[in-house]
This record gives sequence, structure tokens and C-alpha cells, in this order.
Amino acid sequence: MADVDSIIPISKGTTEVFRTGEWGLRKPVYVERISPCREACPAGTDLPGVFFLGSEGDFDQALELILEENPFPGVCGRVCYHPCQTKCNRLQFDEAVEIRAIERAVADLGFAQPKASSLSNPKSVAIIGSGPAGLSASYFLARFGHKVTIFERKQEAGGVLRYGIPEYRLPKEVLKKEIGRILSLGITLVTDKRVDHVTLMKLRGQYDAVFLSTGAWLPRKLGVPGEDLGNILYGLDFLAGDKGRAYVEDKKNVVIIGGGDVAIDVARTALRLCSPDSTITLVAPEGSDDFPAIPESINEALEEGTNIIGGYCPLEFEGNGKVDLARFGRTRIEQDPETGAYKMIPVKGKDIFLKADLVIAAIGQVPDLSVFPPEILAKDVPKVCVNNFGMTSIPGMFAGGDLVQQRASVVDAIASGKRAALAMHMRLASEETANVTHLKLGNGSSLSVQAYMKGTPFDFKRVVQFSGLNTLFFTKTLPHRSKRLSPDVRLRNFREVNQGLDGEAAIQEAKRCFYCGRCVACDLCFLLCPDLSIVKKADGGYRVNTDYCKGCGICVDVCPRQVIEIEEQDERASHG
Amino acid sequence: MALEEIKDHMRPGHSACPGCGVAIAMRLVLRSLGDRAVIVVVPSCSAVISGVYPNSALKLPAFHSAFEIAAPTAAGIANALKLLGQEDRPVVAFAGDGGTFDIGLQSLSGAADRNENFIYVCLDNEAYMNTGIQASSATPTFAWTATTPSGRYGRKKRLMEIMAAHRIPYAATASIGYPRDLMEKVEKAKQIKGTKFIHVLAPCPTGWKMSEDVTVRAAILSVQTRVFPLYEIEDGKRYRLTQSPEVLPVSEYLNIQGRFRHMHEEEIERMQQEVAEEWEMLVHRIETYA
Amino acid sequence: MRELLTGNYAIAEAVRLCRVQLVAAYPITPQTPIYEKLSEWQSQGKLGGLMMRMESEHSAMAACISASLTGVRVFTATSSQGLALMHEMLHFASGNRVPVVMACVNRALAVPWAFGSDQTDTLSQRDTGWIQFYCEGNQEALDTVIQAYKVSEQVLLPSMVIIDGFFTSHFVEPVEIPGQSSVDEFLPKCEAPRRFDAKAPTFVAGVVDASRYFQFRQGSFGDMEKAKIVIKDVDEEYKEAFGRGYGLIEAVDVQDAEVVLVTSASITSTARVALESLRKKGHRAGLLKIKTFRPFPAEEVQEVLNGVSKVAVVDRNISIGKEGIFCHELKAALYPLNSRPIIFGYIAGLGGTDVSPEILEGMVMDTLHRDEPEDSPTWISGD
Repeated sequence: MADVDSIIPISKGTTEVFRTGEWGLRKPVYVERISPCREACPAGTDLPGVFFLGSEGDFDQALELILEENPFPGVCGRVCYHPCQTKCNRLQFDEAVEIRAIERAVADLGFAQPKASSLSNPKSVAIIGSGPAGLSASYFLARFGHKVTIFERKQEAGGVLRYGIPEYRLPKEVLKKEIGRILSLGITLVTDKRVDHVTLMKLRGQYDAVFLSTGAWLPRKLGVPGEDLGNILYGLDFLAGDKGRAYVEDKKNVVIIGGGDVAIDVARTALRLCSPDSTITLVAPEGSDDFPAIPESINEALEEGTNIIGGYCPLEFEGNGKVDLARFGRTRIEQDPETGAYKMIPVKGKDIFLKADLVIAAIGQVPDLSVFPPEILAKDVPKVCVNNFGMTSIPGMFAGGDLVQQRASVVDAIASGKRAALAMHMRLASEETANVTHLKLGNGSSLSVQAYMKGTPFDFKRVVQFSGLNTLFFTKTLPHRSKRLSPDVRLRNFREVNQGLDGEAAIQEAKRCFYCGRCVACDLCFLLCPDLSIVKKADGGYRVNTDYCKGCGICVDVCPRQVIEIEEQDERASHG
Repeated sequence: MALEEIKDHMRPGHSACPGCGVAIAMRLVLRSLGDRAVIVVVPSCSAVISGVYPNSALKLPAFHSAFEIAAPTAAGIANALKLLGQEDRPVVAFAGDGGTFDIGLQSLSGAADRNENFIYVCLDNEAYMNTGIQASSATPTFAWTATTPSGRYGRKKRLMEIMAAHRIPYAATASIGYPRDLMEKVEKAKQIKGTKFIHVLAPCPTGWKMSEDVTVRAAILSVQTRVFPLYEIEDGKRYRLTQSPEVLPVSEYLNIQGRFRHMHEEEIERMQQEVAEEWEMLVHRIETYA
Repeated sequence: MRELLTGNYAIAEAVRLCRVQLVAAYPITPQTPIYEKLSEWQSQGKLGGLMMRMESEHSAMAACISASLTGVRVFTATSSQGLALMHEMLHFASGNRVPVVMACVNRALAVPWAFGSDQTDTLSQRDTGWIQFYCEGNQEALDTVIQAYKVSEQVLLPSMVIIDGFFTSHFVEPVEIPGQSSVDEFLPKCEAPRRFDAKAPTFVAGVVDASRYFQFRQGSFGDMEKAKIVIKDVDEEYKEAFGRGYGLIEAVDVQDAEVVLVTSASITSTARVALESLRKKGHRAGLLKIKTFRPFPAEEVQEVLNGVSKVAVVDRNISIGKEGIFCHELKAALYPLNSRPIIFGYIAGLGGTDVSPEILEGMVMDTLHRDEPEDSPTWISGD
């Protein structure tokens, strides 16, 4: 009898001799993409990356990652208007991830110290104004390796962050920590130094480049009769303490005009300073549902006892030397579809009369342009004119923040400082500024310094749509909401109202992130390939074994975050 | 356990259709078995996938038995291993729905009655797919097959109840749409002595007339629409749900499958009612016998 | 040790002596006493190994096959309907080259329903690739089971040890039961290949292409041919060890016979009585017992029957559409001879009808007086 192994069919070979990859030309490829939150963020923070690290409790690394794109996570994590959250893909599944709250938790709980690169030929840059735009530009320029000097008119750095946003929204310790981290890169800060036109031109000569970020501190006037009566103040002046907040205590009927964050902050500050029996009323020309202020702040203002009236604009103030009555008329806001400018249109309706022993108007600010050379000023609007990179018409002179035409917000100011820093650095290093398309995140306005310094890991133009996700693997959950002080505890003090998420809640909330466009090695594609054609690489990622992949596309369908897609291979290539 | 520690016991190069649910199911089960298991396959897609002589897609010792005898084959091996002092080696039989619900039901019942020590995995693609899509008693009502071209009239047998009636220590449904749940159940079965039955729904793009990339999606939807709930029955009496996902209407599941395309509104409604009814009964058992 | 045993119990004793490790069985009359005796011993701890009380014969053979492939010594027993139900598995066992030994107790196959001895059940499985031994009596049954394990484990083909229902299975005869140590010496521990090695995993019985199928079948055929030699050797070895041997065939008084009566199983015992009577009456009758039916001992019967003028074959079976099966196979085996006897086929004993010595004498006389062969057999009902 023959050998026992050959009397019955005993298969010892492997089916791997059959290259089933030859069955078809479709093969999956891994393609990372930008998440819509990152595209929406003016600073371009790598949010899914941050949340992935956060979900593992790795707050130090998460903070380090944020700091690659945004030096102010503790600030933005408290005051940002979070355009990211309105674009969060999870919004279409259950509720948006609490992005801002996680960013704040990472900033508060993590530790990281960015380093300055060393350049063989560092340049010198003068930054005028230490608000968010100026500090942001300083931060990035210092990281690139340049010698930065900031000139600040006031006694301390921070701009609107210190002087415009009250402590119950942005505690001073947070600001101190964040500014301290920026300055520790070796930036020189000169305070109490007002830069006039002459000084400006001298600085222009002494430094290789100058960045103008003096902000917008002059109040917009109402332009109504009686505006020059006593006890009529302007928002930012009031908040910055220039006109003395002490005398507010005895006022009984405070009327605030405006629907933006400054107006809301004025109202809430007044609530805290005035006696409990005083009436605080906020009147805004925008409809109640259209206030430009952040919704959370409006809700908190209401909880604290602000009366809010929307859809009225001031017509006249009456009083004997000092104001005691304010008259308002119904109005409607219209945005010109072409220019984008807002117009107030009077609407039929009864006027309202409010008793007022103090009126604070906060309908916006304009910059003081008197010190700037006229050729850099815009024609139609009170702004400095710049291109997409903050370059003015004067070589080596850049501008950003509220000085230029863009949304007047902290994160937009930070973004403008970053763009200008990149442009300045490239100019100073004689690089082409045109070469930044690969740094642009999706269709947003942000540029990625992370990509600039480390290289672009993937094509930043591809943005993950909700329709590209497979959400069947996710379970609907409620977001973790930040704890807030109850309204009765809040008044009479300026304690931070929003207490944020504790570490464990931040980790759990970070896990709600879908990580759109980012492979987090969830192993679903790997486990669910019927042909074992997805192979784990040593670095934690995956590759496709095209010898066996039949191109069914299950991996593409199951990927919860759209990091795989099918490609038709070139016939020649597959037989190579 | 960490996924890195688990190895695959299946090889690529097999001849499953692109997007095959049975291949995924086999792969996931095989991952959880360790290096010493013995595998039984019987005529079905899983046997073809296992390879044609002289090649094998399996890295474990395996035997290609006859159609209706997956269970006694596995039982014979398990008992022989015990006699040889190798009782630690799990024996796992793979059979299709045809080989389990129909022709293999008697021998499976006999093995379960004797509480033989093996894991029986029914890879259910709801028809005799290997021979060209003919109906079995696992084919759901209304489904098109080559032998029920106007849709199957009968209802899918409640095989889990049949197995529970034998009082075997462990029976569970599992889905490739919930891979970790499936692998945990195999792990759990390995630790139990006696007959363990795992009913895996393995969608078939070819037979269900679906696009080849939605196999796993169909599996997830079958669970979420409660067509195929994921639960365990211990000792024939303790019922436990292992997944409680968000509920979707049955039409979400039907819409991606061509085999249900001909269904009218009333038929879809009837199917929804039947699904609800089966779910009610399951919930009743879970609550009564937890 | 000598005891009065039924054929069934004799087989059970042999199973115990062979240290069978796994029994997978299903009850059917007249096999049940084997199954019950083994169960009794198991519950008393006298039978080592495991017993699987199966839910059908088909499953019983399935379990035997897979257990045997794993590498343990297995046994089962059945009859009639049970054997028929096993048919798919008989091919499966032979193709898997497993050394399963099965006791078959011949019983009539339905329809019509009847329970008496009839060989059609085992003979209709002759194409399944099993070795088939037809035992004359209880002692032979015991001895053949022991020999069968040794043969099967050498040639890796399964064996059937076949006895007549009731006439052998239930009738009591004195049987010499060998000692355990002598059987252990004769039949060592099961060394059948262990097909499921964890360290060298293979896939057993995968689908083959047509030409490989042809080759494997040819291999089995060749090994079944060689089995004849192994059967002979084992039988001789057994005779030396235990004093009893049976050969593939047994020829009695054939040298000068005018008619040789060909029989199998228990009819052979009756034929011995008839032979004596015939000789006393002056007729030159001879007897040829065929014990090993598969592989068919063609050379051996050619040698015995060469030159014999007439042969009468008694078949307790029928292949409808042809004739008795022993007769049929015998004709084929003698075909190559230059001078062939005239062969007369007789059908007797179907369904357990009695075959008396007178009936057998009558057959021989009938053969003596006939010279024209007929294709169809003569049916002797015994009425």
C-alpha cells in the first residue's frame, strides 16, 4: 500500500497560489480627508486628531496637537463661536460633539510647551498690538525661528481677551497661562508703548517686517438725537474699565443697545455690578432669533435676569443733562445680497419707551486708522486693506485681526495672525507665497502650519461628507454637557460660569467624535474583509494586499469615517 | 482580549464570490479558535471556500464530511480526541442553512440530545446557495429563490427554539455586522462543555441580489430591524439579548436586497408585523426566563 | 474459556477483547442484543472507551468514520433497513480508508416487512468497497471480528463481519472465548493514522478533479486486491495463536465430486449434514463454503472448481433482474477457466425460510439430473 497520506485526498497546499486579485481591476485605497469641523475652524485645528488623543486620555499630546495650529485653546475653548460644531457630522446623526468644551478640557488638563525652531538667518518682526491677532502672529513667527518684538499700548498684553471679555467668561489665570506659553518662545513684549505714525515708520525701517494688529477700539456711534447726554457710554470702553465701572453700582435702569457678544457681556457685567433691584434691559436691532452673539451667552444672560428685546433700534434719548428716557422703534435687519452689508429698515409698529439712567451702546467698534499710512487703508470701509495673506500695499507691512475686513471674532483674529505669519516667514525666507494651496484646508479660510512644518500627509481638499460615513456602527448618545454655575450663585461675582467638562467626561465626549477622514485603526476593514486582503502595518495603519483583493468594496462600505475608496486600477499595472 | 494576540486561521486565494458573507463569518469564527481546533465542513459554500485538492484555505486540520452529518462527524472527532487525551482541542462544525435546518436537522438533534462536546456553527445565507440559490426552510417569507420564483410562502424555522428545546448549554445568534459580539460568543462557547450552537446570518450578495459591497451593511440592518436579533440562550431556558441597537423599520433591510424587490406594500407590512410578533415573543422569553 | 453464547454475544465478547475505543450504534432487530450487551458492560465499567447512542444508523456510521479518522478503534453493528440507510456512509467509509469493523446481522429488507435471515441486505452493499466476511457460526463470528480488526488496520479498508439473523445471532452454541492477553498480543493497540494533527494541519477529503478521482479509486481497488493476501496471512496467524483458522474459502470432499454445493454462512452447517447423507447414499457430492466475499476469492474458487462438472449454488438472497448473488459472482469468477462447470443457481431461505438438509439434498439431486444450464435460478420455497 502506498504511503497513508496519499490514499485519500489530503490537501497540504495553500489556496494562496490563486491570485484572486486578478479577478477585477477595482481595488480600495486608503485616503485620509479633512473633517468638516476642521474645514470650518478658522484656525484649522486638527480636531479629529485631538479627539482621538483625548479619547485615550492623552491630554498632553492632544494639547500639543492643538498648539500646532492654535496657540489659544484655553481661550477658544471658552469664548469661540464654534463654527466647527455647526458643521460636525455627528449633528446629522444625533447631536454635535461638544468640540469647544473638549478643547477647553484639553487646555486646562494637558501640558505642552511648543518650541522655537532655530533659523540660521532669523529675521526681526515688530508686532503692533498684543490682542489675539498680534499674539498669534508672534507665536507662529517665533516658532518659525524669528525674533519677535510686541509693542502694546496698554499695561498688559491680551487686547480684547483681557480688556473686552469679562472674567466670568475668560478668567485671568487662563489668559496668563496662555499668553505666558506664547511669550516663553522668546518673544519680547514692550508694554505701555503707544505707537504713533512716526514710530511706526521708524519700526518699519528697523525691523524686517511689521504686523499691524491694533484692533478696533473706537465705538461705533448711534447717530441719534441725545447721544451726547451724560451717562451714555460705549460697550468696549465700559468693559475695559476706561470710564470707571464703579459708578455703575448706583444705577437702577441700565439699557444696553446691541445684539453682539460685547452687548451681552455689557449686560451681564452690569447685572453683577448693579444692585439686585435694578433693571437691566438689552435692546438689539436684530430679531430675537438672529442675534450675532453666541447662543450660550444669550441664554446665560437670560438666566441671570437680563430683559432682552429684539427688533428695535434707538430713535432718541431724552434727559436733563443726563439721560433718563430712551425711545426705540421697530426695525428689521436686511443683508444686502451683493455687498453683504447690513441695513436697518424701519418697520411699522409702536415705539417703546424705556426708563434709563445709564445707556451703554455696543453696536460695534471701528479701528483707529489715524496712525497708519493712508495708502494701506481700504476705500469703502474703515479697515486696513490686505490680501488673503494679510499683506498691505506696503512691502513688509502686514495687518490682521479686527483691523482688517473679516468676522470680528477671536478665532478669526488668531487665523489672520497665522496667515500673515506664514506669509511674512515665506517672504523673509524668500519663498513663494503662492505655494500655499496645499496648506489650505478644504474650502475654508484656514491654512495649516502643521502641514507647513511637517509636510502634508494627504490632500487637504477632500472633505468628509456625512453621506460618506457608515454610521451603523455608532450608537446614539447624548453629549456630555459642561457643568455651569447656577444663576443664583453667579451674580455679585465674576466667577467663571461655565465649569467645563471634567477629565472623564471629556474623554467620553471625545469618543463621540466620528474621527471623520482619519483612520483610527478601528480594525473594521481589517476584520470584515472576506479575502483577508487588508493587512496591518507595523506603524498601526493598513495596506491592501492586491494579490488577493477581489474589489468587493465591503471595506469602503463599512468604514465609519470615509478613509477608504475604490479606485479602478490600470490594466497594465495590475498585471505588472 | 487584545486583537493583536488573535491570529487568522484562514488564507486568502479562496474562491468565494466577492463580498461573500460566509467567508467573513468563517474567518471571524476561525480567529477565535486557537491553534489546536479541528474543523468539519460539509457540502455548502463553506466547503468550496475551504479549498479544492490539493490546496486548503484553512490553517487548522479539517475534514470535508457529507452534507447531512456535520454534527455526528464533529461528535465522533470530539469523542475520539477525548479518548486520545486531547480533550482541550475544540471541534467546530460549519454547515449551511440547508445542512442544518433541513437535511442535517435529524443528526444535529441527535448530537444535541447527547450533549456532544463541539461547537456547531450554522452559516445561514438563507438558501442552498452553493447549488444555485434554491429555497431552504431558512429562507424568509417572500424571498425570491430559483425554486420560489414568486417568493417563498413558508416562514423561517425557529431553529434557535428547536436547539433550546434540547436544553443544550449554549445557543446564540450572531452577525458579521457585529464582529466583536460574534467573536466573543465563539470564545464563550469554547469554554463550555457540551453542545454549543451558533446561528450566524451570513448575507449573500449573489443569492440576495445585492451589490457586493453591502454584505456587512445588510447584516447590521438585519439586527437593527429586529429581523435577526442577537441573543443567547443558556441551558435552553435563560435568554439574554446581547445587542440592543436603535430600531429601524423592516423596509430599511428590504430595500437593499433584490430578492425582496417584488414585494407589495401589504406584504412589507405583513413582514413588519411578523417581525414585531417574533420580537414580542423573544422579549417575553427574555423577561420570563432571565 | 468455553461458554454457551449466542452469535450476537460472541460478537460482543470479541468487541470487548479487541479493546474497541468507540462504539456508535443504533438498535435494530436482530442486532439489538449486541448493542445491549455492550451497553450493559459499559455501565458496569467492563467496557473501556465511549459509547455513542446514535439517533440513526446513518449517523452511527458517520461518527464511526470521523472517530476512526481521528485515530481510535471503532465498532458498530446493524441489519437490513439500518444497513440500507447507511449506504451513503458505506461508500464514505471505504473512500476515507478507515478501518471500521461492523457486524451485520442479515435480515430481510422491506418491502415486504419480514425479520428473518436474508443476505440481500449485505450483498446489495457489495459495491461499496467494504471487505465482507460471511460467518458460519458463533465461534467463527467471534474469531472473525478479531481478525477483521487486524486486517482492516493493515489495509485501511473497512470490514463487515456478517452472520445470519436468528439462526446465528440468537441461537446458542459453545464458544471458546480467548484470553485478553492473547488477544492483546495478536491485536496490538490501534495504530490507524491520526488525520487531524494540530502541528501539521491538512484538509482531508477536499474535492478532487476527475483524473485524481480515477487515481484514488484505482488505488483502493489495488489495495482491496492485496487485502486477500493479508486476510490469508492474518487467518494463518490466528490459527497459530488460537488454533482456529477459516481460510478465504473451505472445500470439503471436492476432489472426486460430481456436484459441488456452494454455500455461505449458516446454510453451510446444514450442508455439511446433507453432504454426509448424500455420500452415505453413494452420491459424489462436495461442498464449497465461501467465507470471504469481498475481495472475491476468484483464484481460490477457480482452483477448487477447475474440472468439476457441476456446481449448485445456494443463495439466501436475490438480485432482482438477474439471479442469486453468490451464483452470479461465482459465474464471473469461473469465466476465465477453459473448462467451466455447469452452474445451477438455487434461491432458498429468503426472508428466513427454513433450509433443511433435505432441501439441500434435493438441490444436489436436481443438479445431478440436469445437464442444461439455465440463466434463471430455481426457487425452492421449502413448502
